[in-house]
Amino acid sequence: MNYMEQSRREQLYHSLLDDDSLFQWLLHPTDETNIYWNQIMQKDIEKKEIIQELKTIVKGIKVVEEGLSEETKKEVWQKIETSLQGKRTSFRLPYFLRYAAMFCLVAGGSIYFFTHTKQEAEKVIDYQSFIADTSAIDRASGNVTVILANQEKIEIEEANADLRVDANGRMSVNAKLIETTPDNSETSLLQLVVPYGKTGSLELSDGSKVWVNSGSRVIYPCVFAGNKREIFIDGEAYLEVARNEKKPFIVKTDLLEISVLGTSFNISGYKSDDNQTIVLAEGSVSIKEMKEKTTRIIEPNQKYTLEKQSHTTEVQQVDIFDYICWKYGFLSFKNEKLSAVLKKIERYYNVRIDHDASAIDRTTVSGKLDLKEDIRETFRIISITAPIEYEIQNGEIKINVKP
Amino acid sequence: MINTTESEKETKIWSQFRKGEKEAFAALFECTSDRLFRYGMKFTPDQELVKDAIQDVFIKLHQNRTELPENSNPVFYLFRIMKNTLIDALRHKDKILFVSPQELPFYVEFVFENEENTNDDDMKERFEKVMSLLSDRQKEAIYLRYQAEMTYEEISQLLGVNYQSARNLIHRAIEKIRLEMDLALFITLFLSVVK
Repeated sequence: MNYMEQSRREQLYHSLLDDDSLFQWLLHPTDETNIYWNQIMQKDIEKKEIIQELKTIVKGIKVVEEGLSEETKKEVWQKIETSLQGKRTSFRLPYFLRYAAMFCLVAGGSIYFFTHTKQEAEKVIDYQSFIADTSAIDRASGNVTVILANQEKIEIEEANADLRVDANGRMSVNAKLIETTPDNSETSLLQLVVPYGKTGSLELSDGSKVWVNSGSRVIYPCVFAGNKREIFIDGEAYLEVARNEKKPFIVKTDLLEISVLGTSFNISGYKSDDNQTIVLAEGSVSIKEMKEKTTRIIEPNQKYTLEKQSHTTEVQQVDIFDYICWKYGFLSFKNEKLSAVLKKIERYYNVRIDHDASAIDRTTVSGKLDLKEDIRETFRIISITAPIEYEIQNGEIKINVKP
Repeated sequence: MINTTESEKETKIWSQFRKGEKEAFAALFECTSDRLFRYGMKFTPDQELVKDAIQDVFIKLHQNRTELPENSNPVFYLFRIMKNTLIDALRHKDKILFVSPQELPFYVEFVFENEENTNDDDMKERFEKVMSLLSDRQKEAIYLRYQAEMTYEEISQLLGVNYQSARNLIHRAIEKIRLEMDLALFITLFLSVVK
């Protein structure tokens, strides 16, 4: 090699070394980038040699290091929380005012429940038949879909669907205004359908926010015209309800009715699950079971569970983060049955997982699961912690419990 | 940089945190604390000091949440606060008035793993030898590039040098690795065996 030749090769080497897209491909190849880089390597033998060499180096460099154990992580997090709460105590109400506030709350609560029972006599919307009427038109596409009162459909092709309804009933999707005539009557309902593999969020006309998980449906009016705010949820959602004492907010599922003033909570009521759960982050909610007509009030950090078969209910103390972290692309489990975990994964990725339920149910899983872009990576991580083997073929995943 | 959707997710959590969503703070801690710990442990063997620094980073973050900038790579931003916090802590602990970022140690153990699983002990040894000969800043640059997957621009800011110097640090380190390991020869041999 003469000098000129050598320095040209050096330059090529450096330009490939600096190429972020090559680097990205080497560490996280996708089908698309595979095609692109393989083509380049086929065309240019010199580039191919250099890329091979860089690949060996880039993929070969490993660091021996110790990570943060879950225990230590928890310890650090608790210190952060304590230290932040310590700051807050200085803003605490004086004692007598605190009692006054509590009294108002109790008084407010009873007035509210009193007025609420009076409203019962009003007309009740039959959501089940409403869903049955429209389900023929919403099954077709894999996109997040809004079904308007006149059965017209708006499909959102983006992976992320942020819907907003303003106080006048005007709707926008991902910050783009949609041309519809706002219909302010209470009976004209809209439907947000979020298929498996997608998630969405919805800001209602009163400012309340609803984060909608995969495989769920929310039925809501354009504006809340009457003396209450009512929506229906099928599936899972996290709600931050805007406070309005004059108009209580009611969330219905096929089995439950949740009444709130202003609070944040997670509700999960998938048809395919054995139970429906409500986990409260802030405020307080009252939950009525529609069949037995039992009512329970839960406090922050509590979980209400309704077992569908036995119609029994239970309230327990939980770490709410475990129940709402799906909003941030994590799943978090504490001694959860593997079958329940697999169901969540099926919904998130929109895949079918083939498994022997009886064998799987004996296995429980604990820990946090970062939902990766690639389902294979997610399963690789599960198979490290749980005694399972997995096989991925033609979009179907087969799970076997290791003997 | 990392996996595009991974970093998109982090960016999203960051912007939700800036908007004041309470749970986004916990999510941010959940998805970044481990990496902050690993990075921090490269500057000192004192685990408690690193844990305290992580705590400080998140408390600072929470206190300034309304003034935080929009950010495309929150991990880089957190690494920078982490490094500064650690430098302060080290200064305080050792009662040194000034710790130059250029003179910080970088305790890291690199190993070489060959994908093709050719068990070439000699090659691994040569790799470890050449890595041990790198300067601390070169080691940090390599760590940030190939482990933390940062861009040259981000690396230059973390090292407090200009873009060109960061690029040169990496170029020279990679050059040393390929010469010492005789990679060109290795690959030719390997490919001919495969063929």
